[in-house]
Amino acid sequence: MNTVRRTILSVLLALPAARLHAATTNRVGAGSVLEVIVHYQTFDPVRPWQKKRPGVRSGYGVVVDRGKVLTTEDLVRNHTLVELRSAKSGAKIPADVEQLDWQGNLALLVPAPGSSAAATTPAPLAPTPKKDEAVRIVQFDGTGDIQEGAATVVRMAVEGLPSAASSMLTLSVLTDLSVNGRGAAVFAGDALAGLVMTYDSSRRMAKVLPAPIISRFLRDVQDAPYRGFATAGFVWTSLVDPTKRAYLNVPGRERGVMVVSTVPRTGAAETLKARDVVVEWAGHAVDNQGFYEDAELGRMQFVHLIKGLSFPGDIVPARVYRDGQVHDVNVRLMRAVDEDRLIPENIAGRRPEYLVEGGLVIRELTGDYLREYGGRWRLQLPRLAHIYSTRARQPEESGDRVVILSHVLPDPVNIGYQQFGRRVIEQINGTPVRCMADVFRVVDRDGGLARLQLAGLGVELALDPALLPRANRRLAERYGIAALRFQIKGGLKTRPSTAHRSAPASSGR
Amino acid sequence: MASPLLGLLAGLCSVWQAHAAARGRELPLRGSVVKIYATVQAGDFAMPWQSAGTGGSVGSGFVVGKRRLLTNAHIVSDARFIEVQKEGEAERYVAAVEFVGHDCDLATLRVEDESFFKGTHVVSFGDRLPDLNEEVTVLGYPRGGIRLSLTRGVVSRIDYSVYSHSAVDLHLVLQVDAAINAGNSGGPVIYNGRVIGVAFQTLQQADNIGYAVPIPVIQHFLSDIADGAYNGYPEAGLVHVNLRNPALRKHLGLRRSQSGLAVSFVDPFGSAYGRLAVGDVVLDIDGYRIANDGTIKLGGEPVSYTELFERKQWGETVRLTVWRNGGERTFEMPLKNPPDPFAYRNVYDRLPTYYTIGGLVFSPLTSNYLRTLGRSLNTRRGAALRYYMDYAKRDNMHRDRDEFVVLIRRLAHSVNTYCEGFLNGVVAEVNGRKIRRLRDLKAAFAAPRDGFHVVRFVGMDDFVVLDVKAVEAAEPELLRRYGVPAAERFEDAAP
Repeated sequence: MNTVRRTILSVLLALPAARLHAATTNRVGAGSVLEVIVHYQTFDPVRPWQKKRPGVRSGYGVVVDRGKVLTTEDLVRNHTLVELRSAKSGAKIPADVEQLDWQGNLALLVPAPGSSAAATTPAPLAPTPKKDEAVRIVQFDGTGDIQEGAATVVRMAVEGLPSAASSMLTLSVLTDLSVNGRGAAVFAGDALAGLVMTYDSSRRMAKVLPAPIISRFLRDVQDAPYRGFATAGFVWTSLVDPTKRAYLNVPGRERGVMVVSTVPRTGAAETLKARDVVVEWAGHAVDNQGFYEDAELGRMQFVHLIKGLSFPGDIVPARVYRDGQVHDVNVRLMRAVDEDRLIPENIAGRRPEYLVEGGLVIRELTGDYLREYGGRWRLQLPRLAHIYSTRARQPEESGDRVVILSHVLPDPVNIGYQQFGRRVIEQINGTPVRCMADVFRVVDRDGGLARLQLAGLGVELALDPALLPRANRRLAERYGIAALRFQIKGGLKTRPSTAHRSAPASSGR
Repeated sequence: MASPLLGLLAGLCSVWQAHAAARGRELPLRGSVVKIYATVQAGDFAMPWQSAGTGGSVGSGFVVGKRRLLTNAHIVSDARFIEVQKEGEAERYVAAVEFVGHDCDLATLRVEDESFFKGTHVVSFGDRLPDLNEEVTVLGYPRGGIRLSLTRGVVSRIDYSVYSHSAVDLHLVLQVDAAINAGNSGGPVIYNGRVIGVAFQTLQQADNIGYAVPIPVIQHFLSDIADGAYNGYPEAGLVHVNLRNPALRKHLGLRRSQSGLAVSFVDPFGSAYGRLAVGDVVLDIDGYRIANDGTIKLGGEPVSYTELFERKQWGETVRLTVWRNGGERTFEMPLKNPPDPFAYRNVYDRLPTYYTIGGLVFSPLTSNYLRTLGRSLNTRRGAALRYYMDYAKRDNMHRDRDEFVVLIRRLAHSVNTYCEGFLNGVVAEVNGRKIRRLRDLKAAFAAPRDGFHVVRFVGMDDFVVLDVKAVEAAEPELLRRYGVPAAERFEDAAP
């Protein structure tokens, strides 16, 4: 009993001490931390001719090399104005976004020329943090003063990013500080060890994007053109199950993960097959849970070799078991581009192409459109959700999308059709449509939308072409639609450079 | 010369007397309205080898014939033991379900002891529905007391609505603003001393919206069981697009004088399958012209064309006139449809089927199982099951199977350690054999290849591998450890 009391007492005494430390400490490096204020606005996925109500959020950034400010991509996502604020200062400095990448959750900002932010001493990057290493988190308190808190690195692993379908080397950091914004800086000594992506107050745990990923990003930006983060293009699963290993005729028990599927038109699709067992990647032995031994990080998921140490265009050697035989293959890495998907996520919040014809709102299906229907979107839109779940990444042909009738704006011209929303469009005027470019082409060719074939509806919907011009004007006026059509001339189909590189993935980048 | 005021008073008196007389007419009915106590126990669709816990169901019913009571199906579904009690009497009598119509939420009970019916009267049914705003009385045994309750209200709507008991079937309903509460179910709704409805459901989160099964549905049920068996409502299986849009009518080549509805889907398990085709326009059913909004005129009132099918018994015919390929044709369509395994009504009075091997439990997809998922329904795998349920026929998934066979549970054992990630997957094939129905599993698992069972799932690239010898060795111990009395149940078993 006495022991318990003593333990509680010591904890109670320890907490105020930690707060005192947080409130008063202001070491070197902390001066490079800025508040990042982001005004943002997204397009309305359901009414794509207009935007949603603007909002504002704030987090932190760190001045890095040449006065540029590094922060997380999800903080500046959909920005309309980005402002920077130094500690103890009320002045807000506008900044431009030079580069952002949702696959790495990183963004680089450029403060207005001549501003004090540009003159701020940049923070050097720390070497790769070690597990159990003591670090400190730097942010602002409610008065705009610097606030620091002690923290400890408790885990390093490849984890899913909080705001995007991508994974990356991530630090789990335990801290007494109540972290109050994304991008809060994590310092090891005076050097930047990472940026906070999320903070769980119940567990006092921050997820931190670490210095090696930041370093790789900054070098990529510096070494134009920007190449981004790489992907191999296959889905894999661990292969611990001894029965499945025996079935796949894989020797031993410890090595290899199974290729579940490959993504069409990727390097993996050219060289790997489903049921291949990858036992080596870039010269590293891969164990049955997908880990390899990294010289610096120790036991680490082999995904880090792709995401953290390789670049799009690299050719990576791999050793696989296929039908019991060893095969050595070379897998070309590439950058996964959202626009390559059958159903893009549209994380960037770009205005989607759309057409409003006779009140029928036509657009391509995207992830942000689905999520617009709330937390139960999978149950609200079961048919569209099923396509998303099973085929989102796998268009039959490059450029294929799912064209949908989003909804119908009631008007006399479309009477009887107003219940037909959230359905896939198969044909317009008798011509199959596989993307909005097809829709525009058909409508322009025929001078309007006369017939619409929806998936699963045996009857074509028809509109009277003679009534459409007047109806369209009426609809635009009644529903306040500034433009009944938004078309990007070839914009969505452009692909970033994926120049081939011959160096192996583990060459030390 | 009579004063105008006196005339008005006389008029008021006669109105009052009429109401009093109407109210008096339900007095003899009171003795015929009984309280029903049912002990219910449904199957456990998450652990299909056993039953769920027992529970009590209390409702109302009334005498409709010799030794026969009418009540709601939902009062006596999954019942293990039923008792009935008359108003003001202490004694309860044992009753048994005679006929049950889950699609219309009606059931008849039989009480063998004739003494139960002493002092009761067989109710009279009305021959028409009251008009809106006409007063009706609801009798029954709702919560809040043990004696007979009487509430009054008016008919506020006559419409079609989903019957929540099956969660699928859509029939005519009588909406009343008389208080209907738990326990009223199965009790009569009375108009002018005659029964014109059976109270059966309410609208949650709304005030004074109660529903009764109306007299046409009651009479359909009673007429159906007259031959000693309940067949249920025939399903036309017709999905349509209304033709309110002039451009669509023109596109379909209809003349100005024509109206109807365009067939957009023909259910492969409906009566119309093979007779109607997608793109047909149904102009007329049994001489009733169909308007472009899908209504017909009955008694001068517009009602859905489906009412014409509602009035038919299974096996009767309708006469259709359709517009097809630019011409009219008229033909008879028998209203006969095969059992539909993809209708996904709520399941009652039968235990779920299942098959287990190596601790993996497979069972057909049912709405009952889906309810057991709770929050897991709103996941990728759960939502996929919902999609299969809603679109099995529309998206032609029924062609590859007779039912969706789902891996519903893993009884943890070292032979299935790595199978957890496949839960709620729909089985596509086992050991290279396609699985159309649960029973196929047995034959497929009896034919392993090279010492392995391989299970593949719809929409999943990964697969389950089981060691045949290890599974065989573990089977008896596995079933014993988890208290599974039998490794399989294929036929629908009554509890």
